[in-house]
Amino acid sequence: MRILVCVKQVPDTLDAVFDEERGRLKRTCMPKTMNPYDRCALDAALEIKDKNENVKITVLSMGPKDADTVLKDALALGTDEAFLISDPQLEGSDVHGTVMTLTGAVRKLEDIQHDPFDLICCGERSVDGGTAYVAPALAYRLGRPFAARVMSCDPTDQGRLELVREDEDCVQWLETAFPCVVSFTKSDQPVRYPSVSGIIKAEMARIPRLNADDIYGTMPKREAASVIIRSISYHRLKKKSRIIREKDPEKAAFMLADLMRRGHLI
Amino acid sequence: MRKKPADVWVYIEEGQDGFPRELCLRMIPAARQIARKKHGKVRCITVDRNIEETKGIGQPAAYAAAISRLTMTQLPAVILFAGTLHSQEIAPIVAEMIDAAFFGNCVKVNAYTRTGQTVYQQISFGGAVTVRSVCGSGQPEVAVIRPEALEDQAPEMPVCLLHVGEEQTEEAKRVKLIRMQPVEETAEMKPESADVVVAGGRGAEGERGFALIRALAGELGGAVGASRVAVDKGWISKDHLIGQSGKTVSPRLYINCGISGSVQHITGMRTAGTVISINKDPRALIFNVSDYIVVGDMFKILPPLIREIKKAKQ
Repeated sequence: MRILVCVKQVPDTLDAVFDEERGRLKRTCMPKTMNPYDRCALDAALEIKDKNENVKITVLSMGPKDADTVLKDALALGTDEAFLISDPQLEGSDVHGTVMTLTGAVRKLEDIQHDPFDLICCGERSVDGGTAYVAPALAYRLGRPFAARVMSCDPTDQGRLELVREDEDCVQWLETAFPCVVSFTKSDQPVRYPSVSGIIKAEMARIPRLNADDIYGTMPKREAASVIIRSISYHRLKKKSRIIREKDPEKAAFMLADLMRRGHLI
Repeated sequence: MRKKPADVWVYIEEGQDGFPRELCLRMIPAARQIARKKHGKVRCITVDRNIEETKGIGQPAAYAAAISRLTMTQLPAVILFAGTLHSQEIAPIVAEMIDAAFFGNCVKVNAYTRTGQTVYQQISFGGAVTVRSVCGSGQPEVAVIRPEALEDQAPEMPVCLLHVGEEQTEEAKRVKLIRMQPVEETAEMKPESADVVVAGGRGAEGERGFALIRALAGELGGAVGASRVAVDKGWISKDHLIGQSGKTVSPRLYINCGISGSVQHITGMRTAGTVISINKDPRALIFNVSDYIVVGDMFKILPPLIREIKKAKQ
């Protein structure tokens, strides 16, 4: 069974998002990490690999050159191979562009290996853009069945995939044929840590890069939607706060109740 | 030549009870305003679940195919989707199918009076960034509006729903529903509509912590909220989950106990009025967005706090 996991590198914290002086995002000096929802997708794939034989996991990311750090993290956790789509031509891709590039990359990887991915795992959404666009659109472009917000999945003996997913007002148990695309919202699995040998393997690994020509060849790239940005504003999320450091809980509670009373919150 | 598209469509989802979902109906006032400026009409679209095999699953591609087929005869300028879980799956596929410009995570959608051009206000980075943009070409536009940005109530006037049949697609045929378990409605106050929310996280340590949180919420006439950890551990049901994959709340007062404050959680509560955080960890991220901070153990602070509030109310 072949599994592809799509992962995105995102800023790590709310901190340092904002450059006060220049009034813009300090993307370059923000700590970066793997999008937590993608991490759930990765954990689900690793879980399948643990329980079944002959499972090969490929990890794919699209981003700047330094996005290979999230791929190394994935390799350290026990995935088999990783590819990074990185090309200045693809910088600033909108959601459509990202979907077309990923679709092209999936087809390319499948061509090389003469074998389709049985399962493509994505995170439900990214924590930065957060539009939840890529997974359903990728499934559509590849013409494969799709299930969103899956909590756990298990391949059956009949060569299908059983899924548990959450919807607005119900929990559903579904069964789908391969190949398919699944987006994950969380996993019940405990957090995995890389092994020492995994870390060494990941450190040594050279991550192959795909560029726009590899993916699109002579095909024209899809034009981005002509969206014109009229304004961008940044909000300081950080508030000026009053801190109660009183050690005695009775006194701390009294002080808080007093502040609430004065703020007409009670 | 095709008439310049100017209609605004609103996608109305059908709940498990078979009725239109209220959240979707709440988009109608905004849609009317935009349509007026575009000199167009508002149309409410609903997709009937008529395919036996896929009944109840709502394979998003099947719904999207039905909507996009309708656009072939009467192309709208804008299709609005409410940010429900189901609509969020369909909107991207519709955008791909009809080659539309996509605007996700909108907190405001309106139109210029003079040109009728739609203006979208979208948030990202958990609310730290707001982008205002317009579509520069004649492409149709697909937008998803965040639930908290919608009107408080659905309009009272009757709405005419345009029904289209779900479209069977090859992909949809390959998914089967095995069973479904509705999430039970509880009589408890819902955090998304409460004036006061008291929420607990990992630091609540279990049902004992949530009993205290419930008591405080009860004293303040508020609802109970929770972080992902608390829901995943089964201390409280998912209806109370606040954050990116749960509810977005904007109460007048938000008290959180033992919640560290992941970006996902903060996204769900950053529009709250006054934020009070009680946490043992002096470096908890939630403190960044708090008005009042108590560094300490919720198990020791909540009982006297509940007493003080009782006293203050007398």
